[in-house]
Amino acid sequence: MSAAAIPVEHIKTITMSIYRYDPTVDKKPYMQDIVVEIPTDKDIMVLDALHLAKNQEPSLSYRRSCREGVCGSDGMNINGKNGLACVTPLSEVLKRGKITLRPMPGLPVVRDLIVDMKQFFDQLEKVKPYLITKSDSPDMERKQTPEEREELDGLYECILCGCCSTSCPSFWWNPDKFLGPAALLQSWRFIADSRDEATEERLDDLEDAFSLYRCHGIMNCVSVCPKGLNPTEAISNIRNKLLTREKA
Amino acid sequence: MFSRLGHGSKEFLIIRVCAVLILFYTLYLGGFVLLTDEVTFNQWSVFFNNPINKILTSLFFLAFAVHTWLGTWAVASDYLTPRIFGNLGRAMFVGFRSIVAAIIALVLTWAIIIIW
Repeated sequence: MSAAAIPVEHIKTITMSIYRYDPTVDKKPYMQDIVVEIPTDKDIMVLDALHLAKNQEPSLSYRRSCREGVCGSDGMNINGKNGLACVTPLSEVLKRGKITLRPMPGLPVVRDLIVDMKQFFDQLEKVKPYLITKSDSPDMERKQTPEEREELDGLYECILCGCCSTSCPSFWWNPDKFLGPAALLQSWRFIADSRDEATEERLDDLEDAFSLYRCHGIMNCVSVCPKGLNPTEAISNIRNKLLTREKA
Repeated sequence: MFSRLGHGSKEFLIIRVCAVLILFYTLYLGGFVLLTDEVTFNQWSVFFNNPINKILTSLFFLAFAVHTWLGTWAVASDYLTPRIFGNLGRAMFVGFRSIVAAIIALVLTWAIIIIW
């Protein structure tokens, strides 16, 4: 987007306070105010405003890809709350002409708004986010009834942006032990799947004091999820399953 | 059933059962205070000389001890860690746990002496 193509009467300036850190140059992070011109005759997304800021500061770094809330690349902390820049209207977060952008908290910063997601994906890997079957494969496919399929609604939609886990204090303090809301949502997604045949093993893996039980139900994850999912409910479902299962 | 639960599930249940006991006793004692016109020393003594109330009060302190021990472990294992405090983390964790253990032991001993 180019502000130059917009008539002057339809332009206003906003200040974007952006977290900057380049470990090869900077000794420590700092906040940089970048004034950008945005159109007033239409609403733009935070990601669009970031592009305008990058026109002025080409060294500004952030992840983005699909720019429509599907790839989950541009998760960041917008005015103190995690969200996807590409689906967050600027008008909703602009306060007195100013917006503050920081990287998602709790993960190491690679540069500017880019975080190292390794801890996040390491925890996801632990829940084995794929279908595990032991019975012989059917000729065609493993079928589900419509009701069984419905059980997965609100679970399969997760795009792994990391907004939930990086807004969770339990994940901040123990990112190596507590799996975090995103991984636990995926765990429940496969426990709840009628075709999966590893429920007992999955539950056994969550029986320690940290992996699941470090969730204290503060629901930051629910508050920030850009897809409107409910990891706290998924965690609660797993907990109920753990407490009521008839173990062999 | 309980013995078949894993470590995390057991702790989760114990903390909540203790919380319910603490709540029950608080309401019970609160009810006594509210429903008595004027709580005199004699009435207070009679209340706590009742064997059932002695047992309930002892249970309350036991639940308080277990709830506090497990609850503060969760808090300490969040904040007092090598991840946050480096080499000092382990020492701070052990120090904090020792202080909590001492306070719980003191409160329990004191309570038992007073109640019984």
